[in-house]
Amino acid sequence: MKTFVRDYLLNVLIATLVLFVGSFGISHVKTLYYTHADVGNFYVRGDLIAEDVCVGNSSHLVMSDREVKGSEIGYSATLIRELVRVENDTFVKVYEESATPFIEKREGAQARVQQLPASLPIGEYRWNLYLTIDVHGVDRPVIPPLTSNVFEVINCE
Amino acid sequence: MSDITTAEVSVAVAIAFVFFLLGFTSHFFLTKKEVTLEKQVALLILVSWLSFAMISYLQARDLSLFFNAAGMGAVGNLLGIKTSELLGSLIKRK
Repeated sequence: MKTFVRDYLLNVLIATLVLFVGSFGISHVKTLYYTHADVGNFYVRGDLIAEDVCVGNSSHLVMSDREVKGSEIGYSATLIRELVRVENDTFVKVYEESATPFIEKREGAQARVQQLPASLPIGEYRWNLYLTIDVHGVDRPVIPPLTSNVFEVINCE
Repeated sequence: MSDITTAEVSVAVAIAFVFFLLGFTSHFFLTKKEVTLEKQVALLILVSWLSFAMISYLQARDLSLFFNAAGMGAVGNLLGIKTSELLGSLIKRK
């Protein structure tokens, strides 16, 4: 039993070292690979449709197709849907939602009622849809939004 | 059938499959006399590792590196690798 325990612990130690070095090496190679990946290899079908809403409305119909097609196998991408308020030509982020469409794959255009974060005050808003490769090498702010739709929160009375 | 029930059934089937595989293959490698306490412990670790590997695969999650190492250690023991002797001889050679 003593030999068994000693051998087992040594086996576990060796396996840990091998796995640690292996996973470190693989992640390093992946980072190198994805750093050179091009966002242009992906495209998103469909548009965001944004309609004006009344003050106090808590939901908003957003039409978007979340399916992302990649022209090269091996890349993974994340879609980021962002709601911003337009204030003096600057954008103030209100809400952000991200999804990995390769996992959350859906067929066809998806129309759904988007829950608005809170009762939004009157003003101009914008839905932005970003596509970003899910790696550290790509800096999101340099990527322009794929689609950007404006809607207004208005007083309906 | 709800999602939770489906997942539970999948997990049960996966664990049963692991036990079946181990039971079936053990006939080729081990006779009753050879199943010592050490091998029983190693088999227990191996079965729990494979079961959790199946569950993590079904739930699209990764197993901890240390848990993988624990399972691999058991495989080494079952294969009969005498690691301490092996390392000892390697160190002596140098």
